[in-house]
Amino acid sequence: MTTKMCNASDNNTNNSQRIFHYLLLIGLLFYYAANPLPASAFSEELAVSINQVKAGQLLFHTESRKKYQPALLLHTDMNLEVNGMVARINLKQRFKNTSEHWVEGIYVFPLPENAAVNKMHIQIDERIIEGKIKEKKEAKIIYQQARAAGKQASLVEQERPNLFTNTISNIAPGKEIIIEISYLQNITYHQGEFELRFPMTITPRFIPGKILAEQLGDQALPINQGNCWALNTDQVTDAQRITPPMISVTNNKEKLTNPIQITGTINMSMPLDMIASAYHPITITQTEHLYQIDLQSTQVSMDRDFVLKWRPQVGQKPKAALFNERKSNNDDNENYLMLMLMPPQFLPDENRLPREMLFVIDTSGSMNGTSIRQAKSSLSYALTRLSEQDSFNIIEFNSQTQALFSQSVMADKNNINQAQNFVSSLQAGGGTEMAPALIAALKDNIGEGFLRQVVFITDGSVGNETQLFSIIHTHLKEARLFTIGIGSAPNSYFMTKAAHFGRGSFTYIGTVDEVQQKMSALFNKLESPVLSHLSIEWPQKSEVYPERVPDLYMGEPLIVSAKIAELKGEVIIKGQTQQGSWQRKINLQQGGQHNGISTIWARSKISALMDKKIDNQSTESETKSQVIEVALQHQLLSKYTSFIAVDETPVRDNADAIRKESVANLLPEGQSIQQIRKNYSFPQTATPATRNIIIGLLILLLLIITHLKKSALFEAFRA
Amino acid sequence: MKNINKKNGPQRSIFYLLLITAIGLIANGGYIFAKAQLAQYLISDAWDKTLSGNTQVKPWSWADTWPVAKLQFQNKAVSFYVLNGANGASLPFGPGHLTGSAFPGDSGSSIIAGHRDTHFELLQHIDLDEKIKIQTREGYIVWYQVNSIHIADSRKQTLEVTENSEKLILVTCYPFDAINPGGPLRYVVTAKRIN
Repeated sequence: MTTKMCNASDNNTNNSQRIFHYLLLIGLLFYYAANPLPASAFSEELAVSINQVKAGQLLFHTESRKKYQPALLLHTDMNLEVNGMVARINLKQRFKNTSEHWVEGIYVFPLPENAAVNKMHIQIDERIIEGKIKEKKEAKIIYQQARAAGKQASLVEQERPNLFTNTISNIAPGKEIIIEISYLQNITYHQGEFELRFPMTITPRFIPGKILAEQLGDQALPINQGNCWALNTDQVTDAQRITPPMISVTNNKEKLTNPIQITGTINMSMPLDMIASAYHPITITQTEHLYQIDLQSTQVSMDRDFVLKWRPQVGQKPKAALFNERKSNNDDNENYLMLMLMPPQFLPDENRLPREMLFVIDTSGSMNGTSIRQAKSSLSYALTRLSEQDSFNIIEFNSQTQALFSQSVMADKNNINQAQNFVSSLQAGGGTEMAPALIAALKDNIGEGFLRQVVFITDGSVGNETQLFSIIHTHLKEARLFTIGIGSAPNSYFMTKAAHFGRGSFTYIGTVDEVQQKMSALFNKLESPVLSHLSIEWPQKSEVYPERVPDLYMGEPLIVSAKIAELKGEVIIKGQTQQGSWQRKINLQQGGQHNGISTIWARSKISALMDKKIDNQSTESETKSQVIEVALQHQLLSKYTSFIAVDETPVRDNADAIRKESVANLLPEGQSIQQIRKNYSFPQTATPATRNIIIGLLILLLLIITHLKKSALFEAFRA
Repeated sequence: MKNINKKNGPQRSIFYLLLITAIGLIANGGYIFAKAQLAQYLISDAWDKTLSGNTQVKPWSWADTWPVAKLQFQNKAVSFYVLNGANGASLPFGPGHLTGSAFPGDSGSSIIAGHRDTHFELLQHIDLDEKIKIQTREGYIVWYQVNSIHIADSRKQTLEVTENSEKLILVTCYPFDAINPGGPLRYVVTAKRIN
């Protein structure tokens, strides 16, 4: 009996064990079923970057059957008018259809990241059709209807704050359409110099992420053809819209590709000491305080940014400026003002905190050519400016992130030498995976008693800007991020906003010759005390942008835009430096009347609203409705509002076909002859067939064994 | 005894459930192999139509892919119809052309991926200098010669290609005899154009 009992209980244990095993197996099967089989989980990643090859090498095979012939030619006229701190720029884009068929033109073009685009019209022969600002969707529908009805129309949309698309319908064979776009922008004032930057082309942007399934065309095109060379990805959902075709500059002086004429006037109401164009020779004609600017050659190719700088005479340097504009809105008078204030200059601090300098350098393919030389030379100079009590590290990134030292090291002679060798060995190539590099630079805790300054050297040619801003915002803590923009056409939107979220500043270096001067200015800034805790007290209720005044570095002015009920009383500006507090009062009645101040204010408001979305203070829908409200009131182009102009007379018969033609942007100077590089992630290339068969067979085997065992046990039990 | 009989109820259903699962799995495995073979026959019609000037000819009405090239290895008796896209919709039926890479015969690098246990199982037998023939959608014949074979780690590397050279890159999983799909290693055969 005892034996039997034992047997029975053994049998029970066996049974429960067996059930457990079954359950385990079933669980395993469900696990495999629930996890999508890797064979079908295919990921395809694509990115294109630019890389220089030997001169004279052809980009595409001469026998290529798909040789690209642009059917739509672009000629641009640009006129700038600088008045005080505000510039108005008029752009005339002339599109000429040289083909024998009807054309729908698409032109993706850059503008300054703070451009307040508030006027647009179409000019057909002598007629002018004014553009209207509409919500983006509505504008698009109006455009599509006009296009289908054979009417000439133009739709101008914002892709990024510094990247726009102009779509023009029904350009007749052999005919020309002129689209005039006009915007206002703040002039920057820095270290005693005024500067205006006009971008003319774009550096092809790196598109990180996995390609999304199901999209139009489904095929990325070669970089110099069609409308887009990249497909939308999970990180850049609009990649197709920001990757227009790119072509090399031709050397034919008689027939420039994408020629532009630039003219302008500067009126600062004061005598100027110097006016210079950084990269394009100009002539200057002076009539009292009005300076007329013209290009030396009548026209140039749009292959690099146009940068104009001017400096007031010594003793005339502005310390403060106040401009205002009165607008009536529904019987209400609204006063807008712009205040510029130069804080006193502080000398570099002798007893400054030791710094932890982290240099992040972009060595991706788009940096190839002159850009990487500028970057390396900047970094090499920066290393000479470190003192022995500072610590530092260098982080290099392209498709991968790599740090020189596993953690920051002291800036002693040995380490600096090692760093200099590392810098001189750097080469450009690969993708622009910026996120891991930024995280690497910001993630570790800052050493006690150290001030962390991150110097980020890049051309910013990425498509996932918003994601990167979030990373900076999240990981910044007490660190400060300074961006250095490199190359002929860096993404200045990325540069300025990254510095904004990084609470640092942006320096632009356009040629190797500028490295010494610009880097030296940056280091003076880094070594000088900061004017912080800035606050502004307004005499009455006001709406001011930026809402939180950033810390000011040496040579930087305070610039704010405000909407205020009455121009009365005084504003009081207070700030702190290591040497004590600082205060300034300005009487609001002093200011001069200036057109466009309300537009600049509205543009600053939109910018502030968009930033709130990035740092998660507001949702997409809140931001959208708030931006639309400001944009419609002030007639501004924005992410959510577009300009649309339609000529009501149909010109194209429905029977005639219409073809899409893109206007190519020129490859930035220094990248004139190109090699194109694409990155793909490897697809999954195995089926679960073998595994399924093996698992199936194993289960069968198990069943047979347990079955046999069970029969054996039954027999044992019977016995 | 009654006790044990009672326990046999759920045990029996588990037994049958497992039996069905086992047969299902084996059948599924066999189906994958059979599908890989049979689909190629079905695609040949679509390919003939493509050569006579049609584009994006689906081999069967519910297909999400279509043939874009015909691939042949000089020393092997087999040929494959290469399908559009290298994903779950195409790879079970044939090697797939990676979206975004150049089409075979056009300038640039053309990337074709295949399953290591079905169509591209034969890649392990490809040698350096071996010639590969591709028939393009337009009917042209393009010859390539294998100039490199290497193994890449997909966790650390991407497939980086330049657009100014005409190359054919064949990719499959590695090792060839691994049981589980989804491993990180890839077998990469690169061939340069010779005609």
